Amino acid sequence: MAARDDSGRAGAGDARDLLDLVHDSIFVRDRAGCIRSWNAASETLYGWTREQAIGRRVNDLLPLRRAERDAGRDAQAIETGRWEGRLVRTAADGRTLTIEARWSVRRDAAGEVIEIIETGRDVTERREIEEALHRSEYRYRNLFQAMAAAFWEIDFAPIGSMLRELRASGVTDFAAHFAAHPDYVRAMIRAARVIDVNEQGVALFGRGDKPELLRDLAPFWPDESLPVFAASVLAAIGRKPNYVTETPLRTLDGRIFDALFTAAFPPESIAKGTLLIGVIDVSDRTAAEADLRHSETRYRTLFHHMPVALLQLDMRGLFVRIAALQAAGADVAAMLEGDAAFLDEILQLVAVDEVNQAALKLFGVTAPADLYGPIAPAWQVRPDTIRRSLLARLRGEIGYVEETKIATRDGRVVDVLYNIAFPPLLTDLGINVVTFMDLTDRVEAQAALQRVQADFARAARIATLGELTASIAHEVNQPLAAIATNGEAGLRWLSRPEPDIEEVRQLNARMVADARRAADIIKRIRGIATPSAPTRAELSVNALVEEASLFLAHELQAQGVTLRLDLAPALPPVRGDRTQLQQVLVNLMVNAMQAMAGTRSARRAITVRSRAADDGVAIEIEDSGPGFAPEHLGSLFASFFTTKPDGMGIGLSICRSIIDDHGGRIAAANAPGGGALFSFTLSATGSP
Amino acid sequence: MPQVSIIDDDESLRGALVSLVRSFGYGASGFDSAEQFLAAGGAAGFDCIVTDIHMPGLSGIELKQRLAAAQDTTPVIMITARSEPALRERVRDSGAMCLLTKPFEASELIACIEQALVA
Repeated sequence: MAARDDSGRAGAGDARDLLDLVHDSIFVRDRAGCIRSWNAASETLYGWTREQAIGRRVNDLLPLRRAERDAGRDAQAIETGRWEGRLVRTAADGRTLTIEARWSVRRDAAGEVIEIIETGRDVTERREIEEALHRSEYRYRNLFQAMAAAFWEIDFAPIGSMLRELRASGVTDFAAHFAAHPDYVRAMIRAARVIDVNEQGVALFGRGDKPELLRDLAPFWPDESLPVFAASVLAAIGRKPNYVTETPLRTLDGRIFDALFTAAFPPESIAKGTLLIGVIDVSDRTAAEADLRHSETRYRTLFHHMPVALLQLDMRGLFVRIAALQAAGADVAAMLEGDAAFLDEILQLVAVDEVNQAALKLFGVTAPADLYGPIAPAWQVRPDTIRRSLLARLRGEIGYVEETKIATRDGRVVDVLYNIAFPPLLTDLGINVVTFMDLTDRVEAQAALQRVQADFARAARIATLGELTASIAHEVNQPLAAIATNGEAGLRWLSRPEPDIEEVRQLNARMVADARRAADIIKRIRGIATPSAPTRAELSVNALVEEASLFLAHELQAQGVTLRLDLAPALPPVRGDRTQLQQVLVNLMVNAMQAMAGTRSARRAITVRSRAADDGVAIEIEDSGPGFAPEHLGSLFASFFTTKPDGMGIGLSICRSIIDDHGGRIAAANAPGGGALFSFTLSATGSP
Repeated sequence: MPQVSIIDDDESLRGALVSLVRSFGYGASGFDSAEQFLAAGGAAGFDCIVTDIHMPGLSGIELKQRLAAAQDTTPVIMITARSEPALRERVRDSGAMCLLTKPFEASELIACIEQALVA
């Protein structure tokens, strides 16, 4: 609101320009209600230009719905400094708009009100959805009322005589008398006569025989419904057109059921001294409502006392936004994949509106209200979870689960199992429930285990290397020592006054033999280090990629990496060694993950593509990391080249020997998008 | 002329050592094992013994122990391709004069031999 403060000092022009950049309608009115300022969004929303609006009284320019006029809002705003609520206004072109408005009051130094600033947003569409919901509920109720009803015609005349006698005895307050004398009401019930009853009446109350129903009302009227009878009589006396209530009634067989009871007093019946009673059996509905109340209670109880953290989310804002986008032809899934700002917007649109005790504990707050509002703060570390969750919903899946991290309100980051279900009934109401299971202990134990395993693996590797080195050193030392000694002896013999050529010739011959010996030892060690002869089988490249992905699924998720597979269908098979080729894929994917360790988690992605190539298949692995430094591109595949602090520098060199062995080619480049891109080919023959 | 015996199962190194020692003006004889050396009369007639430690059959250290048991004090110079500290200790305990680790310089060996002959 810096713009507003400026308006006093720098002149209205500057502030107006700034306010015009705001998407919400903002206007200022004085105490008398006259509009003083009107921004561009107000022009768009209400259809009145700034020139037309300024100086007009706001309620003249934008008439309110009759029911909302003079609701004491101004008084409340002036008293508390602000007011928030919905207003239904008519725009310039006659459209009815529902506005979610916020008022704030500006005062001068003496505390006198200068003006009221209104920020308004059009929520007409939202309100229409809510009204549609109400309408459907109303239709639901009417359905019951449209059911076939039992009708009785009752002779009211005996009751009329009783009431006249009562009044003659001095009773003036019939209601009090009925309430105090249930026997009198029972007497009225016995005095009333059923003159006629329709087929539904016979079916509902009788046993198939109409005449047995033509009698007084006593069998049909349980004591608990006495007040209803009394009220009906009072309504008749009071010349009300009808009286409707729900009350238990009884059949001739003694079964008590819930009835929607209507007593009608049409003038022609009154003239005849009769009244009409309509009865609908609503026991099913009543039972359903009781069930509903029961299940609602059960839901509340469960919700609040479940040992896992539960958040109830209001998704309506998001649904409206998505529906609008889809109506405009937007590909929401693609926006989710590619547009970080859209994800941020979603995190603001979904709001928490109910939480349980466990959630308070998990998020480190004391009051439920601390968690109400947009879900964004919880997801600042791992917004990618919400992206995948929404994508699952868009694909029509019934729920989504993943291990992720949430940020608590007291600054911790907690490992959780996130679980959201999309049951259609709740989803239609715009409600979803999310559960979080605190995995801290488990994840910490796992991480510790992994650290120990990694340490062991490294130690084992170093130990093996150490042993190998000692053995190589000993083996090679032997001929080297012999060569050196032979050489020194030869030099000694040559430097004597009369060189002993024969001695030197023998020494030289031994040196040559020792050099061969050393070469043989090296050859033997290389034989030990090289694995046994690889096998060759017909393989599906796509299956290989999927197996490798499966192998890494846990690791990918732990690192927050999205894996996209873009695999061409119907590729020809290639010949190769399954284990070796999986080693290549896993190696390249692990490399990609490590390369992205410094990338923002929402952007971490690996794409694996397969496509047909000359005489075989080409595979590409692309990451969204920083790519290669140009000076490294040439030496990536060399043995012992590494850019990682603890890397051995043999992974890529092994990859290359495997691909070479398969008659393929492997290459590295920077992707157009900036990440690293490894590609290799595999042939149908599987040999160089 | 002082006589030096050279015991090493590596034929090339043995030949080189014999040639090297002779080039310094000593007499030298080569044996391919400790057993062969003992069978040929042992230390009798030699002023110094140069032996490898790790050989098939008797090791250089065991040879030294046998000589010591027979009250033979002919100085022994040991050579090895290994470098474990424990081995160095066992060599010292056996009473050997010098330990040379392969590959070594000719001058180191000659220095050891000269030291042995003075003793």
